[in-house]
Amino acid sequence: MKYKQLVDTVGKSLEDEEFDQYGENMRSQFMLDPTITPVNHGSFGAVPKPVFEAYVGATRKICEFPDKEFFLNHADNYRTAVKTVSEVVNCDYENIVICENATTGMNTALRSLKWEKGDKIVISNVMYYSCKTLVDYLEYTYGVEPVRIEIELSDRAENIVAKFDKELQQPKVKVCYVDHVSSSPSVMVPVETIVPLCKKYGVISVIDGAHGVGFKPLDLSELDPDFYVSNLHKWYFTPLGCAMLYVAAKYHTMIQPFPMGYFFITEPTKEILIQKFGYLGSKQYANLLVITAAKKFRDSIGGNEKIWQYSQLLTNAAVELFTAKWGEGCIVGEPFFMFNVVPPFKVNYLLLELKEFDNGFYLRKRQYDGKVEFRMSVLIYNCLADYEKVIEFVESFRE
Amino acid sequence: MFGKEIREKYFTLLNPKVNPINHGSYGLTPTPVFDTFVDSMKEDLQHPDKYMSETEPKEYLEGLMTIGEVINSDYRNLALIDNATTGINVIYRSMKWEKGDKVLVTSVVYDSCEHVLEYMAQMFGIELIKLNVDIEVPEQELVDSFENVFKTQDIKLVMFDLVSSMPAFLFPYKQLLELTKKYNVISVIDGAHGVGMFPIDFLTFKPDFFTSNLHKWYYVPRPCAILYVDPKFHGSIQPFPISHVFIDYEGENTLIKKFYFLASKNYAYYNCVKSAKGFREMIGGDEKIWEYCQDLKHKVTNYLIERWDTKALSQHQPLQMVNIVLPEKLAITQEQLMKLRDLSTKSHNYFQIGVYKQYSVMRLSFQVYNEFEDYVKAVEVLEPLIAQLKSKASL
Repeated sequence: MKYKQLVDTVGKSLEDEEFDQYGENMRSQFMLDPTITPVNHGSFGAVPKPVFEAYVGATRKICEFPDKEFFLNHADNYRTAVKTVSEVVNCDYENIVICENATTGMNTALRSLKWEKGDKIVISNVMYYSCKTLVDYLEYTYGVEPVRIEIELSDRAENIVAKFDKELQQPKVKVCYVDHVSSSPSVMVPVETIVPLCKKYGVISVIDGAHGVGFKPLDLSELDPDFYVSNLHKWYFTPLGCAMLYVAAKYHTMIQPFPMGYFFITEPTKEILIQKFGYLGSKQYANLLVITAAKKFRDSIGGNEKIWQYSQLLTNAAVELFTAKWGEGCIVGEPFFMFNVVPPFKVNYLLLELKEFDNGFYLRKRQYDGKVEFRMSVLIYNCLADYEKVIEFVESFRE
Repeated sequence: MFGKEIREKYFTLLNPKVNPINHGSYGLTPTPVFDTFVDSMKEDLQHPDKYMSETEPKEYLEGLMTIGEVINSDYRNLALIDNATTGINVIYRSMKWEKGDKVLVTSVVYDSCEHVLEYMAQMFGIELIKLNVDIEVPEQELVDSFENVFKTQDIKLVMFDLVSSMPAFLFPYKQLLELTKKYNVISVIDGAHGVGMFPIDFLTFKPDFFTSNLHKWYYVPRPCAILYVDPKFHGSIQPFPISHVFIDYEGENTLIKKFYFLASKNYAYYNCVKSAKGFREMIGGDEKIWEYCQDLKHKVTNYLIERWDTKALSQHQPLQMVNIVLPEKLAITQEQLMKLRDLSTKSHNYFQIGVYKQYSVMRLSFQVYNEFEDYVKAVEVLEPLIAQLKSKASL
């Protein structure tokens, strides 16, 4: 079978003792209902119990004496969170903003830019729906013109790059929006080649890494984009709305938070993003306090490398399982911790949708050309039996 | 059962060593409501897909309907949002501004709300006009000062507080709203301190925009607020972030479609609106809560007026806050204030002190969990702390 391995798993097997703690054994460490089959980590993530406890604990701590928390401790907490994230993604902490979700980060970046009528933004057909609506908003409000690239699931990296290269050369292209790992369908986009192209053509690069931090190794100093957003509540296990926005230094003065906080800063100053984004009114700030808890949890179960190795091995096994059942062609695109699978038969879509919650499922899916495409997620609390259950469940809606 | 008893029973999140006389800044959640909050988070995390597609939209709607009943508003004119600052930001960043549009604000406007207008000035060239507000003049004089501006200048929009923060002051909002109608000015009311503090009745209250925190005086966990939008703006208002829905006007449920889901975040607050209402009813209801707080306020205020031979501002308004003018011996500089906050928080006290006109004023808040002794204890901490700071300063 030919597909790209995300991480090096040479000489390793799911049966290895080092992976015993994962799969079924890991499930009870997560907040997930033990009776469900969780194969859609990609949408809302899942939270380990110790991290949730830390979150509730942090919320309680703030309630113990809110005036003190906000007057004395909050600024340090925010700075610590930013520093922790900057280490994970390898960049200067002064370039990081913590926000609630990637959508907010993307809105903050794109709605802070000064747009003129006729400015163009390069987007693609695999862009996340909320970002598409954001582009609609920019079009409606400022007369921004989207230029849409069509990515085929069969495209190799170089085809994708060539498509971007072509459109980036158009006149008046101000921004290039690229998914790092798109949501539905799941495609891994070669951003490391596209960012330099943006630089070459003087276009602002905005990377949507909704599935970014925790999903794959990230080095933002090396990638050097203008803006990069990533959720932490998906693949990094931080609960209930936690994300990062990377802002290249030259945009620090221009970018402004939503809502506007205690400071409206229009001149360069030290730690300017921390000053601008550190306190945005009364909010739930427990998410800041548990980034470290999430990191600790990841370290305690073996660290990123091992998490990724298991996920890769299980992805391989799951792909083999689907292929054995539904044939070689059922996997669409290059499989990784999220992959697309299309059963070779007609599925009663509406009935399946009606029955899935009651049966402890939620399958991320879309219909096209009379086919149904499911997106599977793979993580350390999953085991092969989860995908067997999915096959059985989907087969029961075969028409 | 109010005072110490209720604090020990239902406000147990508070560190028992803390003397909580500043409810106004961040509010305090009753423990039973907090338990609902934690349960809802757990429900979310047990099956996030199910929660987000079935439970969250339902709880959003229930939250809206609950608060709609409380303030007598059609729930379809409301949105649940994080906080009043967010509400104000949503309003201004959705507005179609033209260069030279004039916006009137007051001298007691909340900083964050003024900043977003300064930002709009930078982005779109709007002009900010600030009306100096003296909260000690007779009400009619204050109303007239607004009318003077409306008469002489072409004001597009006015923003004033329902209850300003520092100093606490209830604006004559009914008279001011009449003026905005008369002069065709868009009205934006910042009710950061609003719902839960006194009756707000949308049958007689018709602003264009109103936003009010629910996490302060209504006991919903932080952050939770409502945004009221007059139907004529349902098409133009847009949330931040723009998420799965970007629409103009799509019928009477437009606001619900726009605001019910704004990407992955903690939505457990919505379920707490009902729970907070239930808690308020359980402890005797709004009227009882307000009556207790008013009595306590007057008792404490009169005591301090006598103790310090000073005066209070806004004492006779129906607020659960009052501003005490600090006497000369306790008046402090901004620098001393920062030191005071630092020292006092370490000793489990916090004093909300600021400057208004020539005065140093201390804002006190009154809640069901407070009693007279709290304030006596507080000033007995405050007096020597300030004396200490002042003697250091004179060295």
